[in-house]
Amino acid sequence: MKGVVFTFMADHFTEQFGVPFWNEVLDTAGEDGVYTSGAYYPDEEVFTLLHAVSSIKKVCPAALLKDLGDYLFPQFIKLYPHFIQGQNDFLDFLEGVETVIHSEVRKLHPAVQLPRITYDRIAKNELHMHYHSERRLCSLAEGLIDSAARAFSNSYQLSHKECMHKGDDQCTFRITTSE
Amino acid sequence: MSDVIHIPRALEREKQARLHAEKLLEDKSRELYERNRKLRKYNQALKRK
Repeated sequence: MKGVVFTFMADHFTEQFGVPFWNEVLDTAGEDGVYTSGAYYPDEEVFTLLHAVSSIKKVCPAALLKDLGDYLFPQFIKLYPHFIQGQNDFLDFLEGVETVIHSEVRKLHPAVQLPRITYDRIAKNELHMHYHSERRLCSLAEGLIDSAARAFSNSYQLSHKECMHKGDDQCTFRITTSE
Repeated sequence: MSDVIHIPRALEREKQARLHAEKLLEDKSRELYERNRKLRKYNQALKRK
């Protein structure tokens, strides 16, 4: 997994719960916590850290991931403002995540592993996003979508129709905006 | 021991330095990608001649 997820995860939990907390998480997880955005780290490490936070704070990993996704979106936009500039329609933006954003990331970082996202644009104000990833980090995606909607100051409804955690082959998010 | 009060500022400095280095790496990766792309294009053009 790309280091940027780890550096922001550390920032997020440190800002939220303080430096001693993050130290405790690293001790519990048995990780050194030395991360830099350009590097790659084992996927398991994300889950080890997440479970450590979860067991200390008694919050389920899915809720923690959603919060993390919420935190990540504005950070990504600070780093890459051009992805959002000139975009007016929230659903158009979401539809471009795979073709515009993910393809740019793959271009610059050929070793990166990203979720595959496919779409059904049901209507101008309704989009179904299908999330496919062996990491099954759909809650992170949900937080990102939620946070993106706020950036577009769009009133919208999101439902997580199918979920890999409930035995489905993929996760499906149904997003509708009020026109 | 009064040094302790200076640590947050030093920490912030180190963090900013890391972020700067990360940005530098990313900019250089982009440059490298663009140069590679151009070289591949020239190479193909040469092969066609």
